Amino acid sequence: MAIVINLDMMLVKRKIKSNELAQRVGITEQNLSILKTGKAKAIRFTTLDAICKELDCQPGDILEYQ
Amino acid sequence: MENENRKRIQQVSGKFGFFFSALIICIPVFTLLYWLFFNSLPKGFTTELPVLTNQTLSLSTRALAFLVSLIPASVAIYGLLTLKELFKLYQKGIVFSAENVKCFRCLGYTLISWVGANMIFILLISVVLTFNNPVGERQIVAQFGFSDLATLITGAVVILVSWVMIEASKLEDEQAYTI
Repeated sequence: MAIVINLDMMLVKRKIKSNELAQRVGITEQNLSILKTGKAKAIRFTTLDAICKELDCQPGDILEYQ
Repeated sequence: MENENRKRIQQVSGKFGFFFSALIICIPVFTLLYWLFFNSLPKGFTTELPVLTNQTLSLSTRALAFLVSLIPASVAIYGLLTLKELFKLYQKGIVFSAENVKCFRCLGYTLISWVGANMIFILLISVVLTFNNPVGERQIVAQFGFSDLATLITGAVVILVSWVMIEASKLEDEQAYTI
């Protein structure tokens, strides 16, 4: 798939650990890992909204079309 | 509510799994006992056979009849093993996976095979049970009744359900990877 998840990069930029983000967003670490590794087939708007809120970023900072 | 339903499925499936395990053991044991004590069985027990046997059967005839009985019994055991596997998956909370689909497909083909196995059984058992009769009284019976047709239709429906289950498994897969 041409959609790339840049979540790892944003986590480093914001100096937030994966488990901490998962807890803040309200998803399991396993699901966050699925998202980070690009195995996810879809992302809910509510999840994207929560991630953007916690990382103070735009959806385009996390999702990229290559 | 959803969790409660899943819990209920898991609990009941466990009990069904145990029941199927018991049947897997009971079917060959009862088949063996049936032919072993065939000569001393009350009349009601022998009415299901395709031919009437008033005489006492020799040990070799009963052994042969037991072997012939294993044809439908083995199909039934295979079906029960598949059911056990399916309910084991339900017990684990797996309801729409590729394994569930495989189990449903196997069950459908087992039901269809059951009809064939039963026809072969009737054909062979009628020969085995009347082989020692005087010439002219030996029989070969072939049967295909409404219940066989119903089983064939049920088998076809179960195979169709397995195709529907493929779609359901795709949806569950999609759901599992939606974050």
